[in-house]
Amino acid sequence: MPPKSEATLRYTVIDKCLTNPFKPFPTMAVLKYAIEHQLRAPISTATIQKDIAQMKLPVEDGGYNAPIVFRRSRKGYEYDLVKFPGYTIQTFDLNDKEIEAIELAAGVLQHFKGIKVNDYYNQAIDKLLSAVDIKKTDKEKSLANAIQPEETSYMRGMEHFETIVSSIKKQTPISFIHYSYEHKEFKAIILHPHFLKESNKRWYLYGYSEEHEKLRYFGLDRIYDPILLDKKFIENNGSDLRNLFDNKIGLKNLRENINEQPEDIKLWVSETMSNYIKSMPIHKSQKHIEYYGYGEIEVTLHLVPTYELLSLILSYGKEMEILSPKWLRKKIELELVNSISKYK
Amino acid sequence: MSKEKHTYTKAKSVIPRTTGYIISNPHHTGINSNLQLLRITVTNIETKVDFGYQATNFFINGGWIKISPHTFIRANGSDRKLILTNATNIPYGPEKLHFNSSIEWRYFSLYFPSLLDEPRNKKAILYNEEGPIIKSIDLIENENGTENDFNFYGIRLDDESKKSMIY
Repeated sequence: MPPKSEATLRYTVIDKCLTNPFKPFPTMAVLKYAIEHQLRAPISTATIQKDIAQMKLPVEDGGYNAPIVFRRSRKGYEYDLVKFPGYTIQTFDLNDKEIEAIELAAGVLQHFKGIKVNDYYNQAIDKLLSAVDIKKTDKEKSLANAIQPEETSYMRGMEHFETIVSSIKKQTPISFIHYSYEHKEFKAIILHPHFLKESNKRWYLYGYSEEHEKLRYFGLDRIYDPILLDKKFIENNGSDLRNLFDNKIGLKNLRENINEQPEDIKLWVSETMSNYIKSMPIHKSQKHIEYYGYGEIEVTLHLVPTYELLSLILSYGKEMEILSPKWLRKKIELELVNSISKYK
Repeated sequence: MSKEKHTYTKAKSVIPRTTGYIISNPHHTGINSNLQLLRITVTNIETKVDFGYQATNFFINGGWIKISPHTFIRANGSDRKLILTNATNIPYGPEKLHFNSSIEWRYFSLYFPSLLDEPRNKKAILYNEEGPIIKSIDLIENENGTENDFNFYGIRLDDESKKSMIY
């Protein structure tokens, strides 16, 4: 069984103590202090003794085959470097299951290559892929096509990703130029950034805008020339940012009020699409409320109606129909009438 | 003998750190309705002026833009012209950037020498320890120009509500 992450962290600390040339032969007290300092939590001597025993186990039993010995004369632990010169668990080979897991992850990461997250991102992926590649036979290499996620294309503005992430981490206000596609106008914005949000393969920066004097989000593709500013940061006043977009699909509300409350949306889904909607719900609030004999279903969603939801419903064409609320049904009808007029 | 305590200091970077400020959406008396003066960045290295241009309905395909290489900025109270050193996203005249439609737009920047280098022999300009106190500047493409030229007068740099220091 592979070691758990916190245990792995303890093994790493023990390994660091055992390979520290300036403080050789760490005692149990030294190991305990180092682990507690790293984990910021108390740890018992018994746990450390178990960790040492686990590290000494062979690889097939989930250990590291670590040659840890206790020197009575020095009252401390060390690696038996006479038999195993230069030993450390940091250079220890991954087992087959771990390599397989990393190969899967690397395959997914490969599809994100080319997106400029920061200067070191592509370099890191290349290193990871080449490291994994060394372990693979030719037959295994053919499995590289086994995972084919959707390609992520380049979006304008991604070149600012690193600067923006840095401003969020440092809690530093940021100045940028924004062009509104909707209003066809530019504005110089000063934003106190809170987080980056991905929606429909586009990235948005969310935070407090000084110009608008409220919380706003801005598409990265419409942001130009960000500059970090030396001024007091306006923090988020207590709202839970992780759940901010839980009640909606996408970002842009159909009705302008950003604090709009979610409402029940009832949908009819055809027998052709019902299995797809059941196996992958439109939203986590989805509930099936009625089943018909031919396989059609009625579902409810509890959401703030957004443009993205509107697009999604329209994308199902005749296979999906809004039953309520009436205003949203009317909105869809209007969209369809306008669309049909293009083909007349 | 007491042990001497060693302290370490970080080596200073050989690259001078950019210091300065920005002015967002500055007040001015501009004349071109399609052109927005968005931000001025005044640093010890250079002065950068950011513009946004929305193509006009007056022309079917949105018209064109260019910038004269003789464009300059001048601090209020100074007769020194700081001539354009670089332009990004806009060509120098007579070359033109032609739009394809009236809904297109262009963000572009003009670069000039640093306003903070204003020499100390100008009586009309005040100084503090950080440099000259410049209340406003003019940005002139053509001194006796028309409304089609990119001329902006009295661009205020002294409005503290629009001023932010660079990190």
